[in-house]
Amino acid sequence: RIYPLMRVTLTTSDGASVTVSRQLTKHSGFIEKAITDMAVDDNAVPLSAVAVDVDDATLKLVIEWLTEHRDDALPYPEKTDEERRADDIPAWDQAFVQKWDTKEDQQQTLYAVITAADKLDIKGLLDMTCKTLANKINGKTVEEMREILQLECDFTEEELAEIRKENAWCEN
Amino acid sequence: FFLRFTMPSLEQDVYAKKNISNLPMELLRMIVEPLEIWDRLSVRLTCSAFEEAVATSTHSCRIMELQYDYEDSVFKVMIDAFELFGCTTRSVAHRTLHWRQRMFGQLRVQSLIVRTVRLIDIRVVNSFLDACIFDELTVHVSRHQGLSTRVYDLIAKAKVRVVLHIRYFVPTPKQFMTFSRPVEFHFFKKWKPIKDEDFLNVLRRGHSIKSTHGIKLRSEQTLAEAIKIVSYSVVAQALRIICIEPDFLHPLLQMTNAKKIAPLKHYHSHHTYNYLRAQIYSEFYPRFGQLFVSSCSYDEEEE
Repeated sequence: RIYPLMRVTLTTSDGASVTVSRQLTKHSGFIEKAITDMAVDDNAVPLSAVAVDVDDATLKLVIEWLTEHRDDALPYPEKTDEERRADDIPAWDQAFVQKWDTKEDQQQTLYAVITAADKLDIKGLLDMTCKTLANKINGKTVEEMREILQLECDFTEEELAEIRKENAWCEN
Repeated sequence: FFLRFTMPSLEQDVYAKKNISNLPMELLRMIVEPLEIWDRLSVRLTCSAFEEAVATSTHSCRIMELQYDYEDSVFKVMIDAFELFGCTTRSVAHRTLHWRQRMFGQLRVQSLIVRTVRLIDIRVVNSFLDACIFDELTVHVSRHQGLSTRVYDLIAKAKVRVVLHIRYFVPTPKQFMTFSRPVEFHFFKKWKPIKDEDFLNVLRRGHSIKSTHGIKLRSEQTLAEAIKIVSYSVVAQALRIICIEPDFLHPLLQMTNAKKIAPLKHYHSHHTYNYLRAQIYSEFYPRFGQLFVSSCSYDEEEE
């Protein structure tokens, strides 16, 4: 059992320190492993801070998400084939991501949260952010997808023509 | 701070790296996997990273259907509502193979339908099936192919359920025993008289039989034994009984767990007889819903 009052200090890549409950960090495979490596059991407080390769602003977003999902079941359930869909994002998560839409660097925020979820091994957050991106490009044209994802076409004209030819196979 | 002034392009480069296309390939695959097939076509045109993600990711679909038209030598691949047409000439087959390799790393199919087993001879279809994991398999066995080793190979690949539609012949009792896993057979041809013991052996193997013409049994004991086998089966099995004598059927139904008996359906008139229908299910049956029905009929009219 993890006691809510037990806290872990995390140091961010830009030097900030954040103290969070073990109730939240249990969702992060990376932090849990770091604590285990310190030979600390569930009932003890780690003596030293856990360094995470995530900046302070992004970590705050991650903690906000973890706070909402602190009671989610662990381990994160493996998705079956039927569940490989992107239209089942909980309402709170949708609102959480929509807040970034107003930001100029919305794309950068999403990128930062995805990489943070990957680095910290938070499967639920990673799953949700990838689904959000899938939803954003769902039903869009190639140009719209490039615009949404801020992608630059790195194909040569020949490569592009070849892929179009392959696609035309099906579109016909 | 110093580098910003000495190498003004550095900050821009670092910023440029924070682009979705620079995410690890595993994450790009997570983004493209929920997409429908037409979105996959579009996203692979955006940039090389997403093109690679599409080619190496898994695509899940509900139904994939492979058909082969003998007369025109044309095969058709349908993935959900999406159609791909091709033909058997070597060059087109090669192109289709290349297309599949760029469109999916793996296909997870809930239900694979193969219209004729002959098409498994085509290299490109083999390629589709190699990259495909399917739960349910329905094979429409052709007159030309019969129950060849290719059918058995396909059956071995299905993860959950196998349905064989056989229009032109009925396997012999010996052939039924060659299937190493329960198979749901749908027959459209009238059965030659089958020994009661052979029929029970088919059921004991876990097979289910849906026959347009029914199967005529010789004795009440056989029907009683059939009910017992199906209701205590450890695989998904069902038995549909059509009987014109409710008084005869009721005591037989008492033998099994009432929960495994579907409500007796209403009498309905067929020619001059009123029929009573009952369905017996094994414990594992309901997960397939009403799609999975085996039938044997006890038809006193024929008897």
